[in-house]
Amino acid sequence: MWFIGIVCIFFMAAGPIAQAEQYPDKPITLLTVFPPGGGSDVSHRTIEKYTKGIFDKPLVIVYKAGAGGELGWTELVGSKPDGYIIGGVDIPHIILQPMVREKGQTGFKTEELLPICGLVIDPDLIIVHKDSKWKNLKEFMDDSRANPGQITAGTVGKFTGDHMFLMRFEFATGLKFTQVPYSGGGKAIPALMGKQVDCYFASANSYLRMEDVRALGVATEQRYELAPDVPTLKEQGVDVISIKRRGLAAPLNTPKDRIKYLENAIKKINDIPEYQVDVKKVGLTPHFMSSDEFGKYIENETKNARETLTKFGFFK
Amino acid sequence: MNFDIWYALKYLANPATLLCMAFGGMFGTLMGAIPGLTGTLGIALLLPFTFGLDPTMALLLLASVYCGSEYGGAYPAILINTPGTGAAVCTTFDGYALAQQGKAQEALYLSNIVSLVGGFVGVIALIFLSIPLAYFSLKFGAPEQFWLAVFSLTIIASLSTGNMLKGLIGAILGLLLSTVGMDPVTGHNRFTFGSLGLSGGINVVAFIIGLFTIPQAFLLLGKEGGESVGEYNPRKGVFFPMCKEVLRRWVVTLEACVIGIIVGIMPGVGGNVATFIAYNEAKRISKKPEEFGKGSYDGLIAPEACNNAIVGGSLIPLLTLGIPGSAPAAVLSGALMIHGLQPGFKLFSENGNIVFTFMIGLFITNLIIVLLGTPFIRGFSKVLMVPRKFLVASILAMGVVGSYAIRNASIDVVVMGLAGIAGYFMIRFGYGVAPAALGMILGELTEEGFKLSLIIGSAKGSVWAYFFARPICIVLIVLTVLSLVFAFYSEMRAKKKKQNRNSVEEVSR
Repeated sequence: MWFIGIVCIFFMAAGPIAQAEQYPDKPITLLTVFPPGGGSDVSHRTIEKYTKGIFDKPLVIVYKAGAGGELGWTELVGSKPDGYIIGGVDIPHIILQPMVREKGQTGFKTEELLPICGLVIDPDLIIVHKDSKWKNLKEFMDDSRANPGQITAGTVGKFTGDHMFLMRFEFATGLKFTQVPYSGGGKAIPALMGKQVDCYFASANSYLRMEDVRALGVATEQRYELAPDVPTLKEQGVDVISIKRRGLAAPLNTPKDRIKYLENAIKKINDIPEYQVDVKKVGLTPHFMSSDEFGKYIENETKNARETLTKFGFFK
Repeated sequence: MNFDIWYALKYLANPATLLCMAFGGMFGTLMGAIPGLTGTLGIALLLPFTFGLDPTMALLLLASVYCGSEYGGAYPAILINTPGTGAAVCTTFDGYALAQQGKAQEALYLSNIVSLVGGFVGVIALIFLSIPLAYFSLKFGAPEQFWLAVFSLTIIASLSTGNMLKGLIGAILGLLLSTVGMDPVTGHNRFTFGSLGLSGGINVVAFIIGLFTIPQAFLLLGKEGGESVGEYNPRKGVFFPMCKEVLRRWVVTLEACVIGIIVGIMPGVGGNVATFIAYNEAKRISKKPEEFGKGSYDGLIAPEACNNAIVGGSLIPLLTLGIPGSAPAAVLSGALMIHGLQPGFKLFSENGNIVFTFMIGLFITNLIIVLLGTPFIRGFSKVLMVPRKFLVASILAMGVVGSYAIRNASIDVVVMGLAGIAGYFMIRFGYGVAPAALGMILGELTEEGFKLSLIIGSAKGSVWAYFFARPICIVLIVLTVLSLVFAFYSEMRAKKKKQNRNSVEEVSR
């Protein structure tokens, strides 16, 4: 029965043990709200790799996937705020989900997540197939102006970061596309590579692992370090800035000093050069944000997202 | 691809490598053998332990877990009618029937041998055909997904020959239940009654565990339970006769492998569907389709060869395009990235040695698992000697632990329990649980394929053309029609036979 033992250790590492003076005196659970193997998992595992010597106790990754992360985040905000459970959060997911949730449906609220720190950024960009007739953003926009709604745009689902990016782009340019919401990158990526859709409003992370595709523009202020050949949308005359950001958060009433401990520990990991190399290798850019900065960022994005959704008539 | 064959051989001859693969294989077998504990979970559990290993070793260890889990799934399916993984559902049909006839050992060896064949064929495809197959998988869009799901739905007819109406009712129940939760396309919640747990949908694995394990436990408790579990009668010299059986049935075996590979490379379709198709095709080409479900060797070979061929198949898009073809392959892709390897074509050119060693290693892993499988078979067969009351208790306990372990959600345990109670009545009243399981598996695939096709089709001007004029769609539609015609034909034949038998009985009376 040893294997049951192992399984139990993994799942019960965060059991209710009396709190001692020293924090942390037992392993800290890191809740990953997407399935193993996804982008969230990879960035958490990369942190886990470097916890030795920085965290006094190990970090235990526990998966709680479902409903685009909503299940996991709801579990996180309902957990005991003792600093022994933290979770990965994605912007704009944690902002959009409570915003568009139907009446009567239970679930977490954005304010119930206490920001610990920002970890990585992943800018949005527009991708077409290598064989596509659109060689640049101008041709793409001219054609979509001539054929409104006839160009299909893949995303990783309704009310995701990709959808947000699509809406921002549509609003800034006045163009109209037909969104094809695939269930995750695992389906959206092959859809573009197989020319099932005309373009893909994607994350740079997806773009960096694809072959035979062309990026028309990236939604950042300056060119993106990991894809320096891709022109920004801004330099092509479209003022759209849209990125995804990943960070960590804890349940709302977690003690301040514990948040501080976690924030500092992650800061130390973020400063390790090998960590930086590893994160870039998986197609993300490390970008540390303190608890306060991250909190302000979330606030700002919330306002921004509400504006965009209002413009598109999602709130009556 | 540039690689050094000596590097690969030297690497694989290292005892540490072999030990790693053996450990991974055994761990995977155990994970597969416990309902609910899957290869996906096994890989995720071992991942942190690979940080200290070099990437090749880490990959081999984790891939061995994946291979092992596909072997392990067959053990409880055959011995106690409880599929250890979703891909082992079809194994229960004939495997358990064989066990009831006292042929548990034959069934277990047979499953191990064809699993080896399946694993080998899968890896051969991975080595020699990965690039053309990867490009083929890209042709598979939303309408193809829809038609594949429709084609797979016709399998219900042959799963319930002689009782098609009840089969249909079961399947529709499964399909309906699969619509609970978030709409895959619009993101709106349906039938969740405000419960967040349900907005993630009814978990397919929990549903299947409940559907199969709970009724089995109840049946074992009943008066007629005595016949439910086979006898334990260990014999020697079963292995080689079983090898011969496989050789005699090479057509079925190969066909199942090919189906496993093709469905395995489709993004997001999954192994559960493939084994159903393989089982159905085996039944169709069989000369004795009436033996299926009653202990046919063909009926056991098909799903088992198929679910191991999927391993190779699902690694093809992962290694070439960076897109995992199945849930365990997705975890493997995460592992690749954590070890600093970006899945995709570049992997072949930049890390040819690692990829090549990994592929050759998969052969060896399969061999190791089969070699070590012999003591496993002896050990697991002893389950049949366990007194029934203990067996029932442990089946129920495994069901609860397993369904909770899928995603650490208590709602899944509730789903498992309710599905179990429903399953018991479905079996009692002759509906069977397989059609409901298939309906559940296919529900989301059908719906998503249909809705996305509608969206793309209407943007492109013609929904009809989009659904009916694509080459792969046409092939799938033709297959669907043929499958239906065949199903009605055999239904009629089965009915006629029944009438004949009845009239013969009347005469002899």
